[in-house]
Amino acid sequence: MNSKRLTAISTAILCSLLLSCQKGEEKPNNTGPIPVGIISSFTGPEARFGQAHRNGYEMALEEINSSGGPLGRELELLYYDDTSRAEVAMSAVEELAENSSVAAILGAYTSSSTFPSTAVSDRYQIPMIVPTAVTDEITRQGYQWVFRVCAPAASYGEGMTDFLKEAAGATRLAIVYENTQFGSSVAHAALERAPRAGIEVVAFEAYDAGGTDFTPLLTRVKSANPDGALYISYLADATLLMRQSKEMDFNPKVFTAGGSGFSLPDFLKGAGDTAEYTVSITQWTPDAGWSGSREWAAKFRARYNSEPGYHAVQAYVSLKVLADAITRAGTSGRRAIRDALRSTSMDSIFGPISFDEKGQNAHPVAITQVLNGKFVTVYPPSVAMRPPVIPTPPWSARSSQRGDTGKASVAQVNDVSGTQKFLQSVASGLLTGGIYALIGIGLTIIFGVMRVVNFAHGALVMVGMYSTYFLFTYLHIDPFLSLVVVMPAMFLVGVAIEKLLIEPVLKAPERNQILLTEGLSIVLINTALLLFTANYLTMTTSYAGATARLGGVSVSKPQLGAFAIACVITAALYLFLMKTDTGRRIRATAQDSEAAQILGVNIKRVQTLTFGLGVAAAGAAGALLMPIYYRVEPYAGAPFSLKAFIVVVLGGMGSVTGALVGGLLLGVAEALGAVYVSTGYKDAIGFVIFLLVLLLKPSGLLGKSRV
Amino acid sequence: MRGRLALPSLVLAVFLLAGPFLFQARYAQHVLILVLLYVTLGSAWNILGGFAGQLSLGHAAFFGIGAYSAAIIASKSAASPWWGMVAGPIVVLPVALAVGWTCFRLRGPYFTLATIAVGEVVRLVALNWGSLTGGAVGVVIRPSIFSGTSKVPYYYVILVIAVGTVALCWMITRRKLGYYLLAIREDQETAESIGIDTTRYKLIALLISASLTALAGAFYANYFLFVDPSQSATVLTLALSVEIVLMAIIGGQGTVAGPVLGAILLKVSSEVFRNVFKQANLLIYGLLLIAIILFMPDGLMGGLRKWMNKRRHA
Repeated sequence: MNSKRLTAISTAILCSLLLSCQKGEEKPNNTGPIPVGIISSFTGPEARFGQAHRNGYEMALEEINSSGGPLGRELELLYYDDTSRAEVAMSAVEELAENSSVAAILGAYTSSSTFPSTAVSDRYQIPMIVPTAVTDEITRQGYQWVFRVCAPAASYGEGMTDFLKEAAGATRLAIVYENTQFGSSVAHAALERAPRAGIEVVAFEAYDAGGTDFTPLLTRVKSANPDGALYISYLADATLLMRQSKEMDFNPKVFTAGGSGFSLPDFLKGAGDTAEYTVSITQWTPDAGWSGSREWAAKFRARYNSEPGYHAVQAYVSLKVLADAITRAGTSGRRAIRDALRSTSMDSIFGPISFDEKGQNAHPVAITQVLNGKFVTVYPPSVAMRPPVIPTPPWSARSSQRGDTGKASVAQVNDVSGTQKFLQSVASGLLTGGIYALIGIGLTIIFGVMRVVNFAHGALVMVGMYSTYFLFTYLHIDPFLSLVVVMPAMFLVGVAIEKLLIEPVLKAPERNQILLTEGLSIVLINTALLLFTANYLTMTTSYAGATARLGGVSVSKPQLGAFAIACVITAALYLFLMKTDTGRRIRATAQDSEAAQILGVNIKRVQTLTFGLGVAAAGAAGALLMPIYYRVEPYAGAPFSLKAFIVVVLGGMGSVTGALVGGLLLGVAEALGAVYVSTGYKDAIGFVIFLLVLLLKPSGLLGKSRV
Repeated sequence: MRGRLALPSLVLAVFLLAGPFLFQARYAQHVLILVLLYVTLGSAWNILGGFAGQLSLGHAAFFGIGAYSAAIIASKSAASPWWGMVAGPIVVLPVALAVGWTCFRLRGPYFTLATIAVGEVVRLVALNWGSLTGGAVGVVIRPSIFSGTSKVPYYYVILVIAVGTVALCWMITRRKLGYYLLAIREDQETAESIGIDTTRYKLIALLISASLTALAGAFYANYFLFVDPSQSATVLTLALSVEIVLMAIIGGQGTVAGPVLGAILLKVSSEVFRNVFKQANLLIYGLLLIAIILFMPDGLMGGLRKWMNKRRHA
């Protein structure tokens, strides 16, 4: 290729780029629809809330446009999905701000996405209305362009401590919060406020959001003997926290929650009967007494066939507030809208709305309790439909049906002795460890035979979880029974993956194998995302929450069952490898593939078979997880990939017994660490042990024994 | 050779310098800045991962340390967060030394898995050490020096960093260090036997790589003005480590131009996919990765070379 041609090509590319990209700045139109940017989480773990926002916006849009729209121009909503990521939300604000015809921005959903986004909108001087995010930071920055419709975290802390003191008479509070901006801002607001209400905070525990097992955390909380619990979580964790509180037989006088996950209709579905009696902060209820709210709720129900939550109302009202400001501004110019927003004074189904000099709307919070499977407003007395049911009956006294809200027995004392606490930690650690082991075994045999670290292993666990969910939901096959279908099916999936993708790269450098399996993981997760959306799918078995008690130690029966089956599968796999001819071929290949080939072993077949087995084990683990974690979403497998790496290195890469030992060890270490050291560092403990083993004994604890 | 490349180089130089004027839309400028950021990250990773063959999946930790240096300087003192570009690359050195000391005793997949663990531990520390890092809340940084909304100054800062990093990579390949690293990658035992202190040179590669990554991290903090340790963020996440490696390997690791091509291809395509395929964008991205690994196992540079050879022989 000569230099002239190269130059010609580069110049051509340059010119075409120039032509395609150099668009002039758009001038704000004075006719036609007014574009409004909407940012929320329409995919990702928080997608349920994004959907609620969308429902609210759509209803407001229809009303506004059917009456001609502000200034006689219709509003046009430009939806931006922040995929539950702060950075994406920030880029969206920038993109919208750059489009000068966009009048204002509404959003985002999570505090983590919203807080940095408001900084961007303030810098770009585009009005931004915050419908839902509660972190106090947003209105502490002195922003001139940001207006918040909802009540902030500080009001949550105040409202909840008042309730705990006045209505519940609690004096010892345990606060459990997810370690995100939302969780920590509400938790700290409650922590600061508690002493003034005469409440002692006896436990203040953060956990990594998207938790897979709260039993160690609850062991720690229970041993602090609180009489009130405050949980602050999004949906998935809310569900699991309540179910595991039952399994652990944790009985404070009252379970309270900081809104969000505890206030969605999906929480009632996901948590089942454990949702009963939980008390939660809410920003709105149909019976809050604001004019039109009941009628609006009826309209919402008719339109979406579901109960309206406060998130939908906040979105609805935010758009109404904007339309009002545009009308008063008399133009769709940003500065005029901002100035009009400042002097907002309107009545709405969300109560009266006006913004103080920090852009905050004074909005009261209310408190609801789940009674007979419905959210009922119980506090403050001025809007309460009925007084709260307190104390909450202990788990052991609750009948299997909901409904005996009238009678309340005295809460059990959560007294835990030191030995019990220790035994409880070990027991929950072992049970979790069994599942870790099964996931690790799949990974370890694949590595042993093929020397491939399968980065798609967690995603394959997720595929197993979805299979089990659908078998249970549509064919009513019990998750434990579904193993009979899931394992062979996943085996075939594994065979197909090996033939199509892995075999071509077996001779390639290790880095290509890692990237290929990582690519596969991205494809699997995003296929699930397209097919099933990012929403959590939850299922409830008849034995969900069943608990066995052994000498003061509570053990979840489904977890016990999953543990037992994981052990059986491990033993079967071990026997298969040790006692059968095929097993010997696999082991021979693992030890020395060239020698095995010379001795007549069909290596390609062994590799395909092994990959199939490994994937079947991952699928089995997925199936066993469903009755324990109750839920699945496209990212559900992700934490298990990392756990499996740790397990496999602990036990020695390629060793089946090693993976079993490694899994149990990791489970117990994490549980003990969470109970005695810190729940926040629970996951770090696994990694530290992992690094120590790598350093001191890189071949793993069980030495060289390979498959 | 020199004469043949002179004109295209000149065109490239003019193109780079004129970048923000050719692309006046801020979104386009933003994509350019991201591309240059990832050119820096891919090239910096390449010094350790490509030249020395040590597949690190923990570079997000170095990036995060750089970003947090800027953020902490800005939140704990009145100094400009730009000082993070000085502090970050220095603060990262002891961490990188510790990583090297721990992980270089390990080979192949063990090394890779250990770097993942280091990366996750650093993230968890940032998340839980609230008094220093702001914990889950993260740190919002007030812009310093460039106070407007123009992206042009940021473009030139990252341009200097990216060009400097690529130039450094090119220099390394021409020097003793480059040849030593190559020898280590091809066969560590043989390299050892001919008297190369493999640990020492791997460590040098790691320190250079980590420092440049931290520098890019400090730039990121100044540009994005927000740093947080959540799993859905960029800083400190395994997803970032994976993305860096993808850029380098898709482009063709071990070559100077590879990470540059990889960063351009992946960043531009991910932005295009986001706008065109909407929800399916990551699915298409994943399929693209698999296709490249299957059909161009040596990355774009490998594919390009093969194609040029074919043409020459045709």
